[in-house]
Amino acid sequence: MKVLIAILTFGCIGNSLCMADLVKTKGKGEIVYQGIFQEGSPEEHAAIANAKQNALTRYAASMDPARYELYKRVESEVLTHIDDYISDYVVIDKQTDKDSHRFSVIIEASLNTTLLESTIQRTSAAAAPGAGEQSNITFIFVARELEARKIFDAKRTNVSINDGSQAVSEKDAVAPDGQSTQSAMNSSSVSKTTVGGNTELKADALTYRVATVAEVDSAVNAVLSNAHYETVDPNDAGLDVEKFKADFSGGNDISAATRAEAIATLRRNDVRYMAIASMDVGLPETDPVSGLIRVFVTVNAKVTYLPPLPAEGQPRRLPKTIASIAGRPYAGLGPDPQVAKTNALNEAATKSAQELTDQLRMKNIR
Amino acid sequence: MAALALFGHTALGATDTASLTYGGYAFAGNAGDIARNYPYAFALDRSGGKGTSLIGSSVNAFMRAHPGSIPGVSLSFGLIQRDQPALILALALTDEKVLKEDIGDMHKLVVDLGLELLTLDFGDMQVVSSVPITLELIDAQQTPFSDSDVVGRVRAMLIGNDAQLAKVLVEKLRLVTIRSRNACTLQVSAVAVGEKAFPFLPDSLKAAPSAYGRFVAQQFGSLLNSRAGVALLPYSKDGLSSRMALRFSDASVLQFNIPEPTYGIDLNVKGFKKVLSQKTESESLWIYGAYLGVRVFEPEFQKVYFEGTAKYPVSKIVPASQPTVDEFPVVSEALKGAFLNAIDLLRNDPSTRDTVLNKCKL
Repeated sequence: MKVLIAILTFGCIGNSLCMADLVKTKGKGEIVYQGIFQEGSPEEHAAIANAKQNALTRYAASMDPARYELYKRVESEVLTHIDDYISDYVVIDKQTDKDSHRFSVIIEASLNTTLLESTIQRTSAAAAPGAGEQSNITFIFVARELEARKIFDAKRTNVSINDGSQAVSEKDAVAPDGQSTQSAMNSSSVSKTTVGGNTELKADALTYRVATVAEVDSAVNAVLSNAHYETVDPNDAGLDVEKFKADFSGGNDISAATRAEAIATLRRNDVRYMAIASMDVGLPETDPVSGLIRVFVTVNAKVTYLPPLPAEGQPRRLPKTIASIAGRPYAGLGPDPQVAKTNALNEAATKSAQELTDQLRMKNIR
Repeated sequence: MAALALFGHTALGATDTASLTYGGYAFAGNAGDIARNYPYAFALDRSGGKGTSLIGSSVNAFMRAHPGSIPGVSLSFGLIQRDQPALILALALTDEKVLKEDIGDMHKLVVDLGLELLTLDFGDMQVVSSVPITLELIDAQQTPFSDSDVVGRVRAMLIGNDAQLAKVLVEKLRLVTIRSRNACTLQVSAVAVGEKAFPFLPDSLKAAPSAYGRFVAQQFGSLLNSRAGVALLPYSKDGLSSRMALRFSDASVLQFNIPEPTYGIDLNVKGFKKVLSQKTESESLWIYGAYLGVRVFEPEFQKVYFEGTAKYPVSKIVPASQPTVDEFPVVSEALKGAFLNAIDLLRNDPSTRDTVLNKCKL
């Protein structure tokens, strides 16, 4: 089976270039007819056309928000040529209500998602003719795994305060015979101890093993290139990747110094976008369905727009974050932890790059 | 654009090429739980020696000896060529149920095995369709059944040309077809077991009603597939998961998605009932009845095509000298009758027949 799979994978890659992805989706259409309803009538065709549009709308509803926004831009074009996108369908239910003169139909349609994606990409800003250098983007996706975790003991401070006080009272009085006086003395002592303190808990000190992964770079490159962004290797753009790795090995973001230096370098080199992502690799666990090893990768990413350096005398424009992903988990399966990790990283890189790209295109970023 | 769509559909639907590649034998489910879920079949499979799958070798030999068993389909072996669609035929064991009971001086053994002939699309790792198979062996002897006895019985069910599996495969392979990707499918979506059924179940199934549900789904699916000739998707034992993991005989583990079916069937084993019909000094005549609720629906828009109850009685004569009665096989027989009754109800209901069954025809 392994050999078979290897060949299959190779074959699928070969075929994928010319093979459309078809997704089954259902839709419902309804029309009000005049007179007597007849099979094959224009009213029936209209109801089926409605059902096709409904099938597409239902599919679009499952898209993430950024992608849905992009879809909405091309929706009217897609609906106009709906038969190009839904090449095949099966009527799975139809009903005629003679009282209300309504005909409804439910279809199961094969939606050509490759063509839909192509239409979305064609209308996106980065894909517009002449976009060229304006879409230069450099990205640094680093993967990190927990290398060491220092757990601090709770620091307990005890405080004890002892208060002691003594009260003496003296009472003098004239005796009833009026000849003498009576005197009495009472004394009391009170001792109070106050015990308290505090416990200080210190967050664990985490040290990560950080690496850039060639497969991840390839996956991100593929997504960005397909979206017609021009990727620039961070080394070619003059960035010191080691500084990014060093920053991510101890914290969740790059240091201000590394960021400032990177921004200055990229602006000098006319790179307009900087994408930085950290991918935290979780511990391997067993997938409950397959029994394979499963690894989760959590992605934090953001894309910063770097405006060109201002001409002399012009006001300075500041970099701004234009797309971001926070704490999105992706899973990968494999027969051993290494394969599961690689699959999870590829999945995380591809999906997060796709989402960042959608956010950029949604904002007409070019 | 149209050309692209057409090409894609042809490649995925594969209706023109009509070729399947035999992919092998597999255990379904969590790879780490195979030895626990299929203790006897797994022991049998490993008894061929290290690295050898006895069941896999036997099924492979059968398939090679019967390459023309699937009408209109060329079954090939070995590696898939680049220009071929990535459709694979695999035989998966999905259920193993062994019941041992003591009845008087006798020891009884019931072995139920559930298998699926799966058509798998390796292009997008999806289950395309399934032909369910159920095998049952009932045996009795004066000494208790040891584990090796049970493995021997499972061997007789699965290995060799005279095994139950070989005989059933000849018939079931005829139901394997390569259908268009857009063709309609049916799936037993859910199985409920009512409280009135529990008193008749063996303790092992009372403790694991989901295992009984899987058995019910498989048996109903097998009968529906063969009698109504409809395309099925495998029952997903965990309603929340639409994935199916297969551990092939070379130890590779692959996971497939079970797509959303066009139509769903919910089954409800409402309960079993027994009534004393006649009694004489020498024997009693009991009537056992099974009540099965069936609902056929379209899951997306929740359109219901059929909802009703099928029932079926079977009689059992109990000699006065027999102190205990093993009721599970009797109610199982009644339930099987209810399955057939339900399938007839579906086939005779015009709405279900025309809208659902005819659209899912193989």
